[in-house]
Amino acid sequence: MTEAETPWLPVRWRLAWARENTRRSLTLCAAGAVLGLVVGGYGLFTAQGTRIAGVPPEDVAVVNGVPVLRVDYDNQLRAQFNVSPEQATPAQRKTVIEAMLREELYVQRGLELGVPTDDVDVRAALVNAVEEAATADVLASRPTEEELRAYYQANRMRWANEGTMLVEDYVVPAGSTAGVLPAGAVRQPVMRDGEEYWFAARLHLGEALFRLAQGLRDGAVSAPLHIGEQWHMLRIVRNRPPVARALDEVRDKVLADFQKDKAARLASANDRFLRRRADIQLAGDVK
Amino acid sequence: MIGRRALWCMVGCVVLGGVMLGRHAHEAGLRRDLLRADPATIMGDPRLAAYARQRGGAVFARACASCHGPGGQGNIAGGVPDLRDGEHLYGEGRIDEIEQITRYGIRSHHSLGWNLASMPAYASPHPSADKGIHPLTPAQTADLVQFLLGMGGRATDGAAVERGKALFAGAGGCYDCHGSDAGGDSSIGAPSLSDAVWLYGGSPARIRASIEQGRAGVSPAFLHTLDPADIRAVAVFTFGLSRQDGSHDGG
Repeated sequence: MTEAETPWLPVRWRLAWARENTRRSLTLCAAGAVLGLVVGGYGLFTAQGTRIAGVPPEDVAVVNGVPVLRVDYDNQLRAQFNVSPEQATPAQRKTVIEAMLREELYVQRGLELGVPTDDVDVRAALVNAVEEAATADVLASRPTEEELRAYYQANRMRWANEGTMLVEDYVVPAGSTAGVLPAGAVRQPVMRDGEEYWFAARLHLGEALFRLAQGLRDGAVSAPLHIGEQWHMLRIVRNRPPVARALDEVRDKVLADFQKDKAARLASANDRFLRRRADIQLAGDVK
Repeated sequence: MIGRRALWCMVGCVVLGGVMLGRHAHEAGLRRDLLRADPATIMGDPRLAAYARQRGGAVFARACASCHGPGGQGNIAGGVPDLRDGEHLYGEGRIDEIEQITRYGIRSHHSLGWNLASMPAYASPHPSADKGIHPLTPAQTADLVQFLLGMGGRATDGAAVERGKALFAGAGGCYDCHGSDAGGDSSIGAPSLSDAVWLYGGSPARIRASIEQGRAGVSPAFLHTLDPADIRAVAVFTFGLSRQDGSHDGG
């Protein structure tokens, strides 16, 4: 370091910097190492789940590394004593935290004892929880407007309104002519509710007659249809087939079905993944 | 050999590091205080309230605005509630209740989320999986629509209003969730039908569609996607949306 380069430093310092100095190099090296250790240690010991970090602010306890959430503790206080955390007495707090610690300890002990292997309820709950977790993750992500619109276009009749129908069912003599109700036709009381949604008309008329009715227009009289021992003819008073609704009318349904389909695909992919990574050995007689 | 520029660089780095460390420590302190505070008291602490609003606003824009809109105005087409109107479908709108919804969701498939009741689809063979509720006919649906319009003085057929009233309190089973006075029940998320707020729209066609096809709005559980402090902060921010008048009672 020359005088021209650092005229602002005292001469003694310039000379000292310019000299080779093993002690200084080692000191700087050590200082760097210590700084690195401090930074690394801070990161390591304050990371979530680290024993030495103490209890993170979002938890009220950590039991063998498993956090007990503060928000669950607060909710338990409200549910059990109808008080906010600030209003709770020490006795109330103790009651709640003791119960939560006990529950966590018993859950952990249950896992140690292999309860999921033996208890059918625990097994069912675990299966359900894993399935639900996958679905919950899907719900937390939202499709783009383009994705939603494309899905709607591809399946738009899924969200059609329910058609309505007002129809009269007559038992007629054999040989009656299509389009004309013969004299002596006897009206059946199955459609006594008057106008019905299509699903109800299908139930009341039966599948064959409903198939005949759904394509007919207002005022039409069907061809005779032989069902069981009798010939039936239908007179359509009013028939309003299902109509696809605009996306904005059924946006909530479309989104729900989109996410349901996505969750089903994800569940199927999860099944495949779990099978692929598992070591499954089958007995000879069930292969 | 160290030049003047290098020395300045070192000094700059040390200062920058110090500032960053200080900011980190400050932020960590605020985060800790926010999480450890009783939600009911946060709005009474200007320091925490400001921090939560600022942090919560960013979280809202990232995680909530895609459904609720950037200002929380909601969307009738999707049945997304307006968060500014002070109407709360679930609970009374306390910060801890909003936080609970953010964390565990509504019909989110999380066991701690709200999932107590759904609006049956009365134009279907089995309107509800849980209860012995029977389908309605188109005429009965029309009567119910008239009855509900009548709550706001908009009915056009007095006889239909009376028939709808009988259905509401009888065979329709509506009273079971919405209450015999149609005032709703916030403990199960059943909306009031007697006020001017209609989650899915209050036109006769929209009311009819709600009765015919049912409703089951969803709010995701952000338990695994947001930091706990973000969840609390966005709850405070959302609480503030419905308190634009400046009232501070978070409890």
